[in-house]
Amino acid sequence: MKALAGFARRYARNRAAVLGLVLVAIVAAMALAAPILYPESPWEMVGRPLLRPFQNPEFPLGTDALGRDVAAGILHGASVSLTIGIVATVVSVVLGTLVGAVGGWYGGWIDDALGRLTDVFQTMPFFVFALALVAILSPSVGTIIFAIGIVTWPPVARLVRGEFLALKSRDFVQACLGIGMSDARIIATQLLPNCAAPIIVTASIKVATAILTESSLAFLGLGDPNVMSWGTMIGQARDLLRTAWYLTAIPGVVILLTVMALNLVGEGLNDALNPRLKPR
Amino acid sequence: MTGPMLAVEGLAKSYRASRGTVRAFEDVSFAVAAGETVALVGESGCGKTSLAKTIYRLQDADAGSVRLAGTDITRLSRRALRPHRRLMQMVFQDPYASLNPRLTVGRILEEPLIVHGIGDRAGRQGQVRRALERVGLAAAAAERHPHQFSGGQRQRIGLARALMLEPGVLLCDEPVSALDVSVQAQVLNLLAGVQEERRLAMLFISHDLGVVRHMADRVLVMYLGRIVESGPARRIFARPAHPYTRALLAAAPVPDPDVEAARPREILQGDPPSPIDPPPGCGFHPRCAFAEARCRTERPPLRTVGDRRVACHRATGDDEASLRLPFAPQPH
Amino acid sequence: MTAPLLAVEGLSVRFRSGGRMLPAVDGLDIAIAAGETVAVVGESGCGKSVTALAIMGLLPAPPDCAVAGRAALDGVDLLSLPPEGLRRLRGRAMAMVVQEPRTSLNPVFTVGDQIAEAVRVHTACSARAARARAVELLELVRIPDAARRLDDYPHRFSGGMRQRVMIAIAMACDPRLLIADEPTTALDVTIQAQILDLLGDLQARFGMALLLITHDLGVVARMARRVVVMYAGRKVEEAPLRPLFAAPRHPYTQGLMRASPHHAPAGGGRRLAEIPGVVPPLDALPLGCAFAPRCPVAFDRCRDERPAVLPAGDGRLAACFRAAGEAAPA
Repeated sequence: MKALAGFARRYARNRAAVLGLVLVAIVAAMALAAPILYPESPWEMVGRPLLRPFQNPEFPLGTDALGRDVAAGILHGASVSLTIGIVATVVSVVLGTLVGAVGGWYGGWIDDALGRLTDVFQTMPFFVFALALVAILSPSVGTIIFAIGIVTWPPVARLVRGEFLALKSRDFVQACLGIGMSDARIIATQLLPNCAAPIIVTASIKVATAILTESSLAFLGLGDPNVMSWGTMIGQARDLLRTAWYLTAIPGVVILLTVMALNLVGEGLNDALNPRLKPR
Repeated sequence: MTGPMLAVEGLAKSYRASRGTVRAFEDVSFAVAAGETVALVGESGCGKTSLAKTIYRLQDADAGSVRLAGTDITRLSRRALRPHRRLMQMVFQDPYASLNPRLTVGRILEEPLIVHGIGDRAGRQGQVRRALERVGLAAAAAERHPHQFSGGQRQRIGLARALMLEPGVLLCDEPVSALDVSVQAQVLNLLAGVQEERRLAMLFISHDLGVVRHMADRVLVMYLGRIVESGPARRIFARPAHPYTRALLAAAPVPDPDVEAARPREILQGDPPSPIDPPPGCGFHPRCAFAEARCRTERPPLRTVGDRRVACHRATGDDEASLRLPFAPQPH
Repeated sequence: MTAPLLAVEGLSVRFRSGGRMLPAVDGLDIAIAAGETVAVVGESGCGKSVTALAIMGLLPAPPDCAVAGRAALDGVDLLSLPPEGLRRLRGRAMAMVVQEPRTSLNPVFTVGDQIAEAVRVHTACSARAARARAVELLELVRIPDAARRLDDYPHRFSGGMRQRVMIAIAMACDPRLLIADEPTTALDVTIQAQILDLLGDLQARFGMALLLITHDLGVVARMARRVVVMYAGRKVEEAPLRPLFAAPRHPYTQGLMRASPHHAPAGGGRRLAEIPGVVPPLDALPLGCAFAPRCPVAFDRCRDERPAVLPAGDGRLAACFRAAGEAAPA
């Protein structure tokens, strides 16, 4: 408990990180509020097309070319973006941690083999790779999560492997071997807690990357056709950029703020979890 | 039980390095009986820590055997080794690196019991409490994390962890070299007390001759991966037979101005040779004031000379290779 | 008595930590005559290294660190000197050798470059002359085959050799005061003996004063003429070498000497005299004598009042109510 209070205090010292956290909380609240405020599908054509924002109180952010409510799209999009961002990050972190931990701990040919595998995944341009995967598997929330997860784990694997290499020669790990502790137990109870901090920091930034990737895929028309996504909104509005710029600007700004907020949170977590790096 | 608690026979280990093979240590044999302290002395890079890790089975030996209470553990699988691990535990050098910073002290001490399936939770916590009290810490220490303790206190925790499984053999790798003098005395007293009370067979690795002289019943002197002299501590410190032991004793500063002023100015030149490319013959000959032709070509075997074993062609057992005492004259 | 080469008077160093200023060194006096060897001995955190850094002017700038008092070298107060003036003295009038031979040399320059650089910082001379001087210096510190080793990079040198190079750099401009902060702590015994011997020789040959900072009473006994014992940032005792070891006056010094295994009989009879407890942290120093909580002979006054450093006979000083010959209350 005391550790948690100290963590919160250190985090709160970084003003930008607090702002980031507030923004992320707002996005989360938007996602949660979407089904309550806009129970109908955001694909429904509910009003006059191309209503500008702030003109009709019923459609505060206006409507698009087909008369769909932009506000409903933004709120439902928040839920889609966050879900995909978080779940894809979990996939990526679990996969990366597994590969990194096994390679770092066992070393030798296992590490060599996993290292090669990591290289293969990392040398491919990750967005093109994700694009190809989604195109082959046909776009859906599940395949998008899978594709983002599969292309973003290598940096996590490298990070965890590096931490493990540094930790495994430490005497406390030798002491665990000395009492006859099993590898799985050492990895789970001794080593992973010691690299939790950098993994958490990476994860928070990865959520931002995943959201951005999903939006990009959706922009290119590779979003899940059944859900409204910020990327889809931009993609559909790009032809009207000259006449109805707000249709691209609104989701664009929302993406920008969300990604920035997550990065600020990541930085704040980094400072709060590694107090030694901060000057006194 | 008859026979020594720990018996090491012909143990050897080498590593592959980019520039060749590093012979960490070779042909190391010795035994430690229950209630006995054997000290392993040598300078950095002589292979003493690698030897300790091999004996403790943190790495595998290339040749030779380690017998623990009569059982050869050298080639046991990890699973088969586990029950034997209870018999031998280690205290590490660095009190800052040897305790997991993320765990509480109580958890660190409980872990060996959990791994070996000893007791229930309440029983284990009682054992943790008793272990903490035995090493001079309050039971409340169990709630705290390692960083809340000083170096000396952490070394006590490290000792408590080693004692949790009630081993018969205790390996101590430079247990006090990271500690200040006043704290060092506390930890040495604690080690000696625990050893006596449990009749532990203790292998005490150190570079500090003052500490070794105080703690050890017998001494092994290591140079370039080989034991060059072994015998009763008192005798070796009074009359080193190997020129290297002699140089070591002559080099170690003694906190007594009279002894220092009377010290023969005898300084060993040069650095120890690289274990990648050891010299032919006796490993010590390039730095030895007594070296002769034979020393440069023929490796001296470890042979019995009087009350000890020496690996030197020139050691004779009489006074020729002995040295005036560099330590404070003993009133006792 | 002639004026000492180095006169440290009332030196206090405070470090900022968590919004407070903690006293690392508190009211320290040390005087060193030209050509003399003085050892400052104490355990980690006693302020001995901070003292060295203060004299060299290498402490962090305010507000992280506050320095008060005087440290006069040849009558010039180093603490009030502007950075430029201090820089000119550093290396020329005084030089320092530190503990860590692995990190104290820059790995991307050859050893010769680094010594020549030290020469040229303080003397206007050609590159060729600086190089010649570098060879001389390497020979001075007894590095075999000096002319050839000049172009080697530090990683080709062993720990002992690197420490010799550090000494060569320190000797580049014939300093009058050499501060050696734990110069042999990271080295093996036989290498330590070589380095101590070298330092002793250089000192005798060039008549420089040596301020030797160490935790090792053995090194003190081998090298020093006079000894200052520090505890928790303060001087607790100062005495010539032999009297100090023969009959230490301060209970802390007594405890240190008794705790050393060298004074116990070999094998058997295994108990050493311990100093109970631990050194108090700087943010929780006791009100009176900092050693009182661990002292076997402390009485009430020791806990309430800080003992001043006073003469304790035979030209010795001690900061202890007992040593000053004051009677303990019943």
